[in-house]
Amino acid sequence: MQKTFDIPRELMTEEELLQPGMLSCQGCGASLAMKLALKGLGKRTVVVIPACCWTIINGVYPYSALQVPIIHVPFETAAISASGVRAGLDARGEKDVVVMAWAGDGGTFDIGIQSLSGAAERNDDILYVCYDNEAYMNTGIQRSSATPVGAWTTTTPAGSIKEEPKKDIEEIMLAHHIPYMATTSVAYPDDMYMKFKKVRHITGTKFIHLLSPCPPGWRIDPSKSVQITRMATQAKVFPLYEVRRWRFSKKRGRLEENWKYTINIYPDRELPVKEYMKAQGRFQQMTEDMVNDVQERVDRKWDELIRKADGRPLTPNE
Amino acid sequence: MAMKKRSEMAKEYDFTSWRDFTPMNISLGTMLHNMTGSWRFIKPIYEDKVPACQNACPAGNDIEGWIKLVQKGEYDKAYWHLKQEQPFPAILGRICFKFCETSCNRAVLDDYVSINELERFVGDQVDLSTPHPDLPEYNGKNLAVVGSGPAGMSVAYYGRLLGFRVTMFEALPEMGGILRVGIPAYRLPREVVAAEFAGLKNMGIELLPKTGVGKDITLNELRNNYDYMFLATGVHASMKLNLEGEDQSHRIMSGLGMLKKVALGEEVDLGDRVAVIGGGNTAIDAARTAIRLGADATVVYRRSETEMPAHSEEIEKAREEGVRFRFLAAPEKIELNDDGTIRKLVCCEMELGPPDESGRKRPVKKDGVLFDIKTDSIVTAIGEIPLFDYLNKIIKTENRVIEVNECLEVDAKADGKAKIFAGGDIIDMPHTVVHAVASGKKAAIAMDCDRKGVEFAGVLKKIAIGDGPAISFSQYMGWSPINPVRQNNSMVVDSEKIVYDYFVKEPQVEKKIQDANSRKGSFEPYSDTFSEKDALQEASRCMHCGRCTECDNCLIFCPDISVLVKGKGHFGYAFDYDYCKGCGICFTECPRNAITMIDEETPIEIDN
Repeated sequence: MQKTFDIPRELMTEEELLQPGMLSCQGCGASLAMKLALKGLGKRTVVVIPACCWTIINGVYPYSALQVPIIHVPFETAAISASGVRAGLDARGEKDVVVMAWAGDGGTFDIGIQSLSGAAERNDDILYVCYDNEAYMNTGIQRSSATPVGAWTTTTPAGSIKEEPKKDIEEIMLAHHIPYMATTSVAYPDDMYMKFKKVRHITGTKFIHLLSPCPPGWRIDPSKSVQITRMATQAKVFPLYEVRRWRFSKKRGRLEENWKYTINIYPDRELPVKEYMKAQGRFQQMTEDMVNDVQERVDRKWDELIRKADGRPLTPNE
Repeated sequence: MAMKKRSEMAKEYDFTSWRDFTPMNISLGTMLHNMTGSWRFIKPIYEDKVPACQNACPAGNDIEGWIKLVQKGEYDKAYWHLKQEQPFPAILGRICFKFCETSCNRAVLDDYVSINELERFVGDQVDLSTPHPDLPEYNGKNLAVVGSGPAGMSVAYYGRLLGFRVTMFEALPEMGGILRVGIPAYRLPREVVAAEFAGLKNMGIELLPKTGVGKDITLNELRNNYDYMFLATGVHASMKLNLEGEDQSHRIMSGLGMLKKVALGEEVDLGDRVAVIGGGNTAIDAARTAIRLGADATVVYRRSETEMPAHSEEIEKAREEGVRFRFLAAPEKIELNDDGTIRKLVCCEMELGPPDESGRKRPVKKDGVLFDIKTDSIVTAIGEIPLFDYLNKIIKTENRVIEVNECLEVDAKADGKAKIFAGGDIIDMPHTVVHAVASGKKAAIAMDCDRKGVEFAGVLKKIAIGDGPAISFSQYMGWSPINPVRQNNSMVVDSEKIVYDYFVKEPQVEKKIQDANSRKGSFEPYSDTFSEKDALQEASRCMHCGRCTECDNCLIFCPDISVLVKGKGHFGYAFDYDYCKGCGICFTECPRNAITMIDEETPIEIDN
């Protein structure tokens, strides 16, 4: 029996909210991600897009590939613009419309983090999606703080390797006490569908970190983009999980906060990080030692995640 | 397809002056005018290929096809679909060598699919004596089939489906050849063989048992009375040990001779202990039959177990039933008592030397290390040879085989009316039932080509399956495949082309086999056909390599929304080549390789 994706078939066959003719590269993960995200969100959605690949993908004025309203905004203002749209819609009484800020990793990890932090702190009722292709791909593959250790970019060329690990955006967002945070990936469409469907019914700031492959930037064959993204989850480099916050106010006289971690995909086969890295051209400059370091870090993070998901408290030095 | 093309809905806007601009920068239309298909240099096409199991089957059995029908619960359809390439599922479902299972791609994931058991299940769903529902008119030519073993049965079945008037000649009183007298009843019940022959008879095939060619009727008579002849007399004589005293005792017999006597209900005098010499399936069958007759059986083989040509499953079963094995031993001398009984069998200890031309290690005698085996009878099963006396030297034979050309036609000396073909064990090919069935199918097609005056070599190229020797009867007849999509019969889908990430591990359905003690007392079959539940569960394990199952993966993963569902009443999907950028994600994410990437310039007709 084949594993099939748990997405209603009518959704895949009925009219698309995304029309072809988009300007994405061959094998683009971002356009696939948008297609799948809209399957879960539905027609009543407003998309806010800062400077990122999707600014280009959607087409040039006066055309738009998306069949839902889309607003192009400056690079650093994705979250705050979404908050503004939300306020406007609230004023008009259109509470059921989801406002989705759709930003790349540069617009989230680096440039947009202050407005995102602000919106998250105010707990504005928006959905913020970071489609992460692990570098500034649109401008020609420059390093961002989402670029993993050892990855080649034009600003970390051979000889000046990136040694800093990827920023831990999930924990940063959770530190804002937001009600929902999830990671997902285009290689698991049903996981994506489930999460985007779920966020419609959660009030407050929702954050989804989405791994989206970039064939030119990752130095991979376009046909392999989904396969390699799946390997990222199988190798536990990009685990798929979600975190719900449950707040019990004034219980036993004090404010209590509880986080519920759920791991959605447990890898069904052992895959060393080395295999995942070997499949991509951008990791070719890494030495054996560096790969081992990455493996160690990945294993540690996975163990930590498992413990969090089990609900077992972490010991002080963890 | 009737679907309206999306590119026809595309609309472009021309701004001739600033007055045309919208008051705000607001979009006016979609990007459909941007035909991204022009970026492409390779394109995907839907194409069904040959699964590894079908490629491995000498008869080219369309296993994936009928398993798909079993999954839908359409057993009747599955039966007739199976019979398109392999006409005797109830027989081969019990005794086949299972080349398919050894090459099943599922083995990489967990374990192979029990194709053989499923075939038996399908074979048992329909009354075997039902004639083919769609028999053609006779084409005016008649065909004599000499020998009623699997090759003869196959050529008769396909010959009749091609319109020949078929007569089958069998020397023994029972039809079935080796199936009836060579394979013990516990492996293949007599009723199954009889029912298959009832089916052949109901199709209008004349069956003539007790009519030995060369004895009751001469070869020349047949040659003058028939347009086509098919020789499939099989191998029914055993090779000699070449030891002194071999012919002087009634307690020394050939394996096939003994099996034949048991099959025909004659008395066999074995004594208490039997030594079976040889390592093939006949040896195992003889030993297990001896056990069932109440004797104690030891198989004496000159090499070790790994070199044994017998099926490993059979060896295992024999061992469970109490058959003993003495490896690395070759008979050296037979010592007889005065009354013709055996005093002892002297054997020589062997050791394995360098590989011989068959690739197996050659047994070499250890100098002077002799030992005795105490036994009451000796059964020799060191190889079977054909008897060619009936050919009257009209037909050339060499090295115990009849020489045939590519279309299995025999080069006969004196002229006669009939064109002579040969198949089964008497031509140079592996001695298995399924190879025999395949040779019958090939000969029937070759005869039909000859009748129509078409060159067989050209036809062969068109109907060949995969890279093996198998050919497809359904393609020769122009029958449509189950999936109405483009077919590619030369590309084989092996395990490297399967995306195992999409399949869940699931253990094989356990076969219900009686324990050794209860089965060694009788000649009844010791395993049951799958129940419907078991069959459905086992069938669900099939990965459908190379054949579309409408799993929606291509539809879900296309980043350019260029995979369209064909809609209700139509099978499968269509690519929208106006927008497909040729990234190939559908190709790599298709779990079973039912999509092919081809060069953009390849002239190919695609039905969209």
